[in-house]
Amino acid sequence: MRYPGITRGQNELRCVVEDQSLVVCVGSGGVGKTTTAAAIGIQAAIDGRRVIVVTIDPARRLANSLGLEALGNDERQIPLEKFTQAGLEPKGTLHAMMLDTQATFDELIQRVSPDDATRDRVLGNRVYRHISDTLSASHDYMASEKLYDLHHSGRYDLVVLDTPPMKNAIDFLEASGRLSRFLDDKIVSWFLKPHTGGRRRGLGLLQAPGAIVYRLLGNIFGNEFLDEIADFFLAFSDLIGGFRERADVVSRLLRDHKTTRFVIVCTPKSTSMEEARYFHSQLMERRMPGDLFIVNRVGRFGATTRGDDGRFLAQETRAWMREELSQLASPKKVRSFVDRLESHFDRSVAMAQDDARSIEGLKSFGGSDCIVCEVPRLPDDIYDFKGLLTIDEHLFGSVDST
Amino acid sequence: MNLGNKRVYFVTGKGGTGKTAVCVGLARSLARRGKRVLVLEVDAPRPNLPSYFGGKSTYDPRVLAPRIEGANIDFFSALDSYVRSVVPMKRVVGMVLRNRVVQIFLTATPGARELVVLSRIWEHSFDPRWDHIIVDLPASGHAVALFRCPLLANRAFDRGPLRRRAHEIVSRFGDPEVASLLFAALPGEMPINETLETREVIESMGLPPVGGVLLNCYPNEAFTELDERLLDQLIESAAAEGAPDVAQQASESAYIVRREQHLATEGLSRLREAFGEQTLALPILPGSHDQVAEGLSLVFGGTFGP
Repeated sequence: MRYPGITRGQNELRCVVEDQSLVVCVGSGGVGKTTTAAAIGIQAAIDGRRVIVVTIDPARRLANSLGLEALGNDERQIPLEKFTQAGLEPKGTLHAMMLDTQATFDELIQRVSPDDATRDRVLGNRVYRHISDTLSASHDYMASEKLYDLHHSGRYDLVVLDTPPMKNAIDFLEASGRLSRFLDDKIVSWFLKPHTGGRRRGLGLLQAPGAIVYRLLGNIFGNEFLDEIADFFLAFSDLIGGFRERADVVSRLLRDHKTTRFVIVCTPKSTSMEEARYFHSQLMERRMPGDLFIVNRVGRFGATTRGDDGRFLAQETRAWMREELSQLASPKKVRSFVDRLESHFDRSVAMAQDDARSIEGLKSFGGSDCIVCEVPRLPDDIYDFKGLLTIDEHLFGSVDST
Repeated sequence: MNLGNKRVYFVTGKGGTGKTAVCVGLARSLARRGKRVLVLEVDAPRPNLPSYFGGKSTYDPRVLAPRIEGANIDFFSALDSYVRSVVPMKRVVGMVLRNRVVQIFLTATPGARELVVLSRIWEHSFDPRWDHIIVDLPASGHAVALFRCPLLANRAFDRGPLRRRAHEIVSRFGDPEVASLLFAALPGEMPINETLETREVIESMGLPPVGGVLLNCYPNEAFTELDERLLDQLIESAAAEGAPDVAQQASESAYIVRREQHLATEGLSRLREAFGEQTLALPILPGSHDQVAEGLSLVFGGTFGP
């Protein structure tokens, strides 16, 4: 343990924000992934790193959390006042951005184009426009591209990446590989072969399997679509090398335990836990570092013991409460209020005990190498800076910095 | 809230808002009225329906309960169906689908996947075996992407079968007499924000017609003014020295309940502003997935049109 006096999970997270240069938050929807990414970013900035938090989630939640009006494809710095108002003096800096895939794609084309003519030819291609437009919605390809860009820019020590929910996060892990395959020279040259040019229906051509497949693709998707795709590939063929190189780098980066750490975010609910396990196994299969879990919204007061009368809110506590409230309402109303309080409390304790059991389950599932960090269920919806700092207290604990 | 009497109900929402529970609730409710219902999952890598009905998820509709069938429209099976529908020769279909170039072309060409999957839902929507189709869409951002694809194909290509199909999909699923999109939401600032944002995007696309919003897990813990005062007092007393620890914990947990109720009430009124009468708050229901869906189906009972 590098830091004594805090939990193993807190210690691990501290090490992650100090040592790693890429943190990828994954998990199913609605588990607080974006919020967690922002909270990790804040702590790293406080600790002296130059951090950027990137969300590829179509919703603009990160902007909300960080108190920014909106986020765009440009890197925006979180104003220092946000920290100073909270009595903090960050040793590093915090930036945030939301991935705009269209803009990222265009930038990428500019960067990998050998000359202006090639660039203009690609950017002006009708299929490119539509494909990149559609890509804007799926995000995966461009997220990995942006990752390359930010990681190699030298502007940041740490990139914290928020991913879209579950299914698509797996797409994301595979996006760079898929892009590589998509841009496979052989595939592209197949499209660029003479049989793709004129759609002559000569007997000789028909016997070539490639030509038959090409014609059938034409039947399925329309010849025009296919012709435009062929043009698209032609325009793209000059860029393939640059593309593939970058995709390969990202693919290696995600597998590099020295730079990258995945954080699996979940809640104690059974469906979320199942998905966290699934994600863990998906990462392990790909030899990606995925042994760190953050469980949000963990019920509190699970350790409450029953009083002599067998109730969580024992007789003497209820009496004490009634006494404290006796000035404010009639005994009958106070009694019914205290009864209601008890039923809330009973439910909270029962829920917290369920949560504790499911966390134990996660720990025994993951084995001793797995590290589980817990954030309790908090009374307020977290959508401001102060709330994010509260999360940090739970994630990182407090260590004596002197 | 009036859900009308549509052939196709699409359900979307932020992840974790209970889309599948809503779909199964709708299906159970319609089946109880004697309707035959098909519930579809859309290219789900890990289908949710089995956790409600048991068994395995299949591409071809399978009976889940009396008058309820279900299926998962996975991409490769949908592609097979699609290719068969445009290429009459069986031997050739297999050749096309096994071709590596074709496979890579299809998995990597953005939009192809979405169109092929939507095309299958479109086919089912004409099948006389069912009175209603309920589609459990992916989370909101990706549901938007799904419906954007036929709109783009429509603009991008002048002719060809794909453009024809895209056009057919747009006209069928954009028809308010046929289709209705329901949002599943949860109380809380950010899920509500996302619901409202997605609604705007969908309305600007014009596809599918927005039918309303279902606010899941709406708590029923209203605090009266007196309750609020009592709780405030108790929190104060419990923080003082000498107060029992448990008193502090109990007042904190009540405080959380109160906060959550406030947030939920606020969220509901924001949804009402946008969706008007087409807003329905659903209670927190205990029990297994299927018990929750059963409970929801009773709430939906009175909301369908003639």
